[in-house]
Amino acid sequence: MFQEVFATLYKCAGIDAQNTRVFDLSGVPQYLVDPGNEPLRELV
Amino acid sequence: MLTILGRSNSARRAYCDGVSRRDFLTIGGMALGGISLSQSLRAESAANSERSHKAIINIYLPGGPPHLDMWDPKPDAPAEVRGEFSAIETNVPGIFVSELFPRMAAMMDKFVFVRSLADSDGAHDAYQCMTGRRKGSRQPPGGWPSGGAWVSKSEGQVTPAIPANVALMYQTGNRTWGEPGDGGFLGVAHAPFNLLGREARSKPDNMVLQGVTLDKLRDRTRLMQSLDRYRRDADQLGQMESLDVYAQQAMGILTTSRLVDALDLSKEDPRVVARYGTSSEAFQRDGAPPMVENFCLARRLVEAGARFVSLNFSRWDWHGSDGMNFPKCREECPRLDQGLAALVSDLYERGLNRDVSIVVWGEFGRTPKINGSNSRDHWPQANTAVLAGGGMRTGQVVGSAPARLWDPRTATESNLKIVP
Repeated sequence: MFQEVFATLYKCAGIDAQNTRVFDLSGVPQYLVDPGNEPLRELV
Repeated sequence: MLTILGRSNSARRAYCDGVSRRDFLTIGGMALGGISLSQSLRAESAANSERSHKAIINIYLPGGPPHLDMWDPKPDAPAEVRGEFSAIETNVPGIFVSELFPRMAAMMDKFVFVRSLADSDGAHDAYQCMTGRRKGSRQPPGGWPSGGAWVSKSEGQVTPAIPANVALMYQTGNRTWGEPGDGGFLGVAHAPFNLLGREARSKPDNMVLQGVTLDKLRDRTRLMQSLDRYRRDADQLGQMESLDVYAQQAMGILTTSRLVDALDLSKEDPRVVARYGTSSEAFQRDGAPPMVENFCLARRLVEAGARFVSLNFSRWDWHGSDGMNFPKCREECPRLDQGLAALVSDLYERGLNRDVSIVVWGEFGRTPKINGSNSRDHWPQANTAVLAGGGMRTGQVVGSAPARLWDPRTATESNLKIVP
């Protein structure tokens, strides 16, 4: 999954993607990757 | 190329072409009003912000590379799947790679193959490799930020002289192969600062301060005076707050030569540059040129302070009636092999391998079965991404595209799911 790769890259970059949220223009919280996309556990 | 708008000056507003001359700065290369930045500005900031930081280099292969001929060989498959290349051993027992990648094979312990990319959107588009998201998915207002925009927002700039999110993405004939994504709802401040356009290299003469004569730019003091005057004018007009963020970035960039130096490969040890192999300035049809030196530039940009560097490399779409899949593989893969091996070796030699992550991928894979033109068609069902660095546990394969996937007799809807 592309987002699992991004989750892995963010983790390697020291970013807690699962717990970092930003509100979009309509005030809805958004995450770096969609829920359910974890860093590849074999790698990190 | 980047144009900065200065204030609108009523005394100079009306030109005979009817366009007000408001362009204040145009940035895109390495010279300043005809004098090279490195001549007119002495690098002075190199010493003070050398602390290590985390970064990501995102190498995009436009067009959908044929993963079976590269990083997911099927040596036991019948000839119409196996293709023309044999699989070779790597320095990790049990992991095989196409014979076109001998350098990567010799250092497989420093790479990862993720062979389970199975959710490709299926369109010829950089979007998914830049954002992670499917373009067709429901988007929030403002759109999804690119990966680099998230990193920029989350981590900020290492130094004002280098934007956090940088791109070395050529404008390609197929437009979507050259789009590094944008800031999405995070805003333009986090959009990629793209250093390339339609020319193979950034030109040394297209960073200019318009309306400031050359002799006024002779030394740094005078440059600073002209910038200060610009700031004062902008302040008086109350524009500083709302000044285009690009202009603020440009201020940071212009007041040191850090970015320009990072882009200047003549400042790199020529033996190091040579290890990356030979670049070609020729744009590959509607794709990018195979400028392998950009891998080295990406590393230099990271060292200078970039946190996310995206680049597009060559063109990987060869399934037309001209049947170029295997000939083009023989041409492009060795160059990619050499460039990636050099980049990853560089990271290890410089002690950056824990801080800098690399990903290499295209928008989808290619059909296991070879088509009537001796090439491979689009295959969103399976694709391989290469990872390296980042402190990852390398020397692994993650996921697999099972054997049945390349057997068209059994590749039905129900067994196309790929189980990592």
